[in-house]
Amino acid sequence: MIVEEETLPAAAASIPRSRKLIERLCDAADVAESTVFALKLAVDEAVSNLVEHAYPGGDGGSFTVRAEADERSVRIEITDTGARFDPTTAPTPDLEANWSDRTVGGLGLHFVRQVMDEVTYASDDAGNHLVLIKNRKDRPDGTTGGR
Amino acid sequence: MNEMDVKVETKGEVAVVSVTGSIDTVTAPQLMSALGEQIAAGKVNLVADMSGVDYTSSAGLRALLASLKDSRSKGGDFRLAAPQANVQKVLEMSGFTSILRSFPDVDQAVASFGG
Repeated sequence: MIVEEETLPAAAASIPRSRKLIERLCDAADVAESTVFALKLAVDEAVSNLVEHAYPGGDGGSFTVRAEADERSVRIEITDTGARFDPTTAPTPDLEANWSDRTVGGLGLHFVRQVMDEVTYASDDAGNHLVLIKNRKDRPDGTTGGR
Repeated sequence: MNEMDVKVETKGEVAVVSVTGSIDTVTAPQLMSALGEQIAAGKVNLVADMSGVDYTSSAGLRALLASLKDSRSKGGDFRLAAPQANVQKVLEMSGFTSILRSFPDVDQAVASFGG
């Protein structure tokens, strides 16, 4: 198993850094490009949401991204100690509204749910834990393309 | 770290904004202000050349939607040219393909304004 983990400040600059972490993991694990894009998008949106909402006082909170890849799947856990929030229950935005009524509120978490195979949330004394899992369709049985 | 670059040129009555790199929460405001400056200057017909954009999050869509609303409210329109496959996927997941016209290349997008 290949693992990347980083603890970052809850600030906008950490959004591209979180994507870079995913790129490093996927390079090392030889993940297919379309899967890399899905993972980067999901992490970006989850982290963007966290940066915007988890620490409303702007009190310099942080979060940890831990990403693990094996032949079958990529698992990403994002942990923060900010405000309790379950992204899996966020409402789906109206994707068919007229242009003048259209908003992008809620789109980010909609993308997370769309591109990942599993999205689960839990909270405990250590904070919020968002777990994102993407199955590797390039290696459906974990037996092809290994190295 | 400069993750995104924006260049503006005018083709006839149409402002062509060429974007390269990644659009996210950090870079989207720069794109929004580049497009907004054109609209404020009266160039309400705009094309965003997306051929150099390898990534966008929902923050990029926020910039595109703001420009779409701004240009249309002033009698113009905002259209896309040559989005890459990953960006196209984001446009489709968001339902933006039903509100934002997209063309295979810049020339066709510019020509769609009827010269």
